[in-house]
Amino acid sequence: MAGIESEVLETFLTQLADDDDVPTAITEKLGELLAAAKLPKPEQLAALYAEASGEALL
Amino acid sequence: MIQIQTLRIEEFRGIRELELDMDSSSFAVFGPNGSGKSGVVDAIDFALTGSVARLSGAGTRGLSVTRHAPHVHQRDNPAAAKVSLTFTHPASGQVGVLTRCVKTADQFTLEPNTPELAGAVAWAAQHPELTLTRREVIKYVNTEPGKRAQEVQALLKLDRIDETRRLLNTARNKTSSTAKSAADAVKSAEDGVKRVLDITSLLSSEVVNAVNKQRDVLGLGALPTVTLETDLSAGAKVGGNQGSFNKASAARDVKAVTDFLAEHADLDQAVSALTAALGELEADPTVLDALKHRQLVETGLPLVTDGVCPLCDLAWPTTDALRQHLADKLARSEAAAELQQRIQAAAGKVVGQLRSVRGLIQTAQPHAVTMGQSALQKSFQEWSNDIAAFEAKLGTVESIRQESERLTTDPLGTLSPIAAGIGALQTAIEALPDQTATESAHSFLSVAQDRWTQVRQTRATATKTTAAHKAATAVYEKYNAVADAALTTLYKSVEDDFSNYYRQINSDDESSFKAGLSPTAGKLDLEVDFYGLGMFPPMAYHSEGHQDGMGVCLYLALIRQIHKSDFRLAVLDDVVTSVDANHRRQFCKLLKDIFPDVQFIMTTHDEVWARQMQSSGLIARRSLARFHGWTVDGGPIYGQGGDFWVQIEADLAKDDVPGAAHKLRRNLEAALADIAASIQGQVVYRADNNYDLSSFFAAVKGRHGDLLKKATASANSWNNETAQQKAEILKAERAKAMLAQDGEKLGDQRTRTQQRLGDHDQSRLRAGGRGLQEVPGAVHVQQCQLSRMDLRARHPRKGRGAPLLMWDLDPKPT
Repeated sequence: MAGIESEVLETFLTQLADDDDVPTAITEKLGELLAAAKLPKPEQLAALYAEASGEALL
Repeated sequence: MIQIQTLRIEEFRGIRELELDMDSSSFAVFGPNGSGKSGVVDAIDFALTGSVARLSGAGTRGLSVTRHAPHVHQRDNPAAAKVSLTFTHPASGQVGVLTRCVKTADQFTLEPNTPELAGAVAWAAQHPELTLTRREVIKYVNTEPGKRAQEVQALLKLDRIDETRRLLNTARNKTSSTAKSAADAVKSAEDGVKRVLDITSLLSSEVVNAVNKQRDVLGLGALPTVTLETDLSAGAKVGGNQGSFNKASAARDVKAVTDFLAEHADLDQAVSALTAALGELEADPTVLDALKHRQLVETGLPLVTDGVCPLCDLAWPTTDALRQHLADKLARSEAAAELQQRIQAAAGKVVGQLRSVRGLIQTAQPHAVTMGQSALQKSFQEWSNDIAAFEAKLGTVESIRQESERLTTDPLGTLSPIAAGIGALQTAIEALPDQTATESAHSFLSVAQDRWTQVRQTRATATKTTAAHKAATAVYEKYNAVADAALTTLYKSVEDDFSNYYRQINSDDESSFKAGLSPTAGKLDLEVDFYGLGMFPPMAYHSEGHQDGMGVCLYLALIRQIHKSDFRLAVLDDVVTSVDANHRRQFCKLLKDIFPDVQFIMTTHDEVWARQMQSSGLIARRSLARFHGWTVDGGPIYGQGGDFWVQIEADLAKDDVPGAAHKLRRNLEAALADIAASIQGQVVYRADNNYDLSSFFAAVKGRHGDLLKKATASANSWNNETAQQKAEILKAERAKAMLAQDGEKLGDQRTRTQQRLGDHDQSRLRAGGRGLQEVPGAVHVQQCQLSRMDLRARHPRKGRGAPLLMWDLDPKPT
C-alpha cells in the first residue's frame, strides 16, 4: 500500500476508535479488511455493520 | 530509480534496429511526424514495464503487445522484437542491462542481477507514469472533477483510497436500504396491532385500555402499564379451535386491504412523482441519450487534441467547436444524472407503499385459510410475490422505465378475482356467528400478543439496522474526512508546485498565476487564475498552448510529490507541442533549474524546440537524435550528435546543395535567435514574427559590439591589464568572424538568402559556411545580466569552452 494510503488508513482507524457511533468490533475488523491486499465485498461490510451494531438479537 | 545509458531496439514498432547513447543525461529525439520517434518512447515503456501504453487502455480494443509491438515485418515473430536498456541505478552507482523480448513480455533478463538493480527494475515497472504522451499529460487538466480525481489518484497511486471510499459508500447504501425495509416492517407490525386493538395510535394508555377490557372479560388482572416486553395475554388460557382467530380483528384486517385497494393516496402521490420524473426523461431523448453516453463523453473529452472526433474521426471546423459540443453533452448528462437521482428517490417512496400493502396482504392471508378459502389464500400469496417482484424492478432507471406502463395503469397489479375474493372473504367473516365474549377475549389477547411480539421483534431489528446504518455512515464520513484532509494537504503541495512551475514558464504574462486544487468526496476540482480576473476551469479561457503548459506543470508537480528524490527519469512524448517558442525556452530553464538530477527523454517534431533544448543547456550537443525520415522496410533514418556542420558536409557529399543550404539557414537562424535572446539583442519587431537571418545578425552584432565596448571601458577604468588583454582577444575574434561573414554578404530578405544559399554551388556554400561558422562562436555569451557577463570563447564544433572571464561591466566610479 502506498505511503499516503497507509497514513490515511491509520489516521482513519485511530479517529474511528473514538467515535461513539461505531462499535469497537467494527473498527477492529475494518482495520483487518481494509489493510488486506484485496478489498472486501460491500456485502461483507454490510454484514459486519449489521452483526456488530446495536444489541444482539436473540 | 533508474537512468538510461544506452537504448537498443530491434524489430520493435516502426524500428528495425536502433541504438541511442543517452549517457544517463537528458536526451531529445527530433524528427518529422511519422519518422519513428514514438517508437523510442514505446521501447522504453516496454523495457521498463513489459507493456506499451499506446497499445492499452481506452480506444485500443483489438491491439496487443504480442501482436502489434513487433515491427510489421515481424508481426508473426515476436521473438525477434526486443529492447535492451543499459541503465544506471543512481543510488548505488551500479550499471545493469535490462532486456525484454515481446514474445515473453512479462519476463526480462537483467545482467548483473544484483538486489539493487533488480529492485530498481521492479520499482520502474510499477511506475508507468514515468513515460507519458501529450494526450496523457493533458488529461490531468482537461477533464471533469470526478475523472480528474481518478486520473490523479491513479498517478499518485492513490486509487486504493478511491476504491475504499466507493466500497464504504456502497456498504453504507446497503445498510440504508436494509434500515428502510426494517422501518417499513415496523410500520406494518404496528398497523397490525392497532387493527387488532382497534386503536389509532400506540400510546401506552390506549394499549392498556384496549387490552384490559378483554382481560376483564376473562377475569384477569388489569395490566397497570405495558411495554414491548409485556405479555398482553398473561394468565389467559389460549387454545381451542379459534384461539388465534378473532372475528372482529380479522374483519378489520381484511377491510384494511379492501380500503387500501379503494383508496391509496400516498401510493398515488408517490407514483405520480415517479411517472412525472420518468416523463421528463422520455420527453427529451437527448437527455436520455446523454445519460446513456455520459461515461463515453467523459472518456472522450480529454482525448480531443485536434478538430477530429476521437471516436468517429469526423472532422470538426475547430478543436474548440468539438470540445464545446462534448462539453454541452456532458452538461446535459449532468442534468440527466440529477434526474436519475430524483427518479430513484421517487421509486423508493413507491416501494415503501408497496411494502405496506404486502404487509396488509400477509396479515389477511391467514384469515382466508381459517375461512377455508384456499384458492384465495393462494391468490394472496401470488399477489404478494408479484408485488415483491415489482418492488425489485424499481431499483434502476432502466428497469423502472420498463415498468412505466404498470406504474401508470395498476401499480398494485390487483387481479379482479382477488378483489372479488377479498369481498367474499369479508362477507364470510362478518357472517360468522358472533364469538362469545369469552371466546372473543381469548382470541383477542392471543392475536394481540402475537402482533405485539412482532412489533417488538421488528422494532428490535429496526433498531439494529438503524444502528448499523449509523455506524456505516460514521465510517464512510470519517474515512472521507480523513482522506480529504490528507489529500488536501497533498494537493496543496502539488498546487503550490504547479502554480510555481507554470509561473516560471509564463513569467512574461502570467507572473501572478495561481491554481486551486480541491478534493471533495472523490472529486478533484481544478481552477486556475485567468489574468487576475477570477478562477476558472482550465479549459474556460486559456489557450491550447497554455493548457499544454498546465498539463506538463501539473504532471511534474504530481510526479515530484510521488517520487521526491527518487524522481530521476521522465520520458515525455511531444508534450509541449502547442506551447510557443518563448515559453518553451522557459520550460527548458524550469526543467534544468528545478530538476537538475532528472534525465528527461523528450521527443519533438519541432526543430526549433530541439535547438532550444540544446542552447539552454538542458541537453548536451550530442544528446540529440535526429530522425530524418522513415521507411517501412528500413525504419527511421537517423543520426545522433546534432552537429549540423557534419550534416551539411554529408549533404554536400551527396551533392544535395539545397538540403545543405536549408540546414545552414535554419540552424543559423535558431542559433542566432538564441544568442540574441541571451544577450538581449534588439531585433526589429515584425508583426508576422517572420524574422530572417539578417535581422538576427544585425541584432547580435550590434549588441555584442556594445557589450565589448562596455567591457573594454570597464577594464580600462579599473586599469585591469588581464581584462584588457582578454577584451582585445575577443575583439580580434569578433573582427575575424565579422570579416568572414561580411565576405558572404548575405541578403536582407529571407527569400533572397534562401535563394542565394540554394543557388550556391558546393565550393561557394562551403566557403560561405566557414565564414558563418565563426559567428556564433565568436559572439556567444553564456550568461548576461545587466552588470555582469560571462564571455566564453566557444567554437560551435568543439562544444562549450572554458570561461574567459567573469566581467564586471560597471566602470570604476570617478
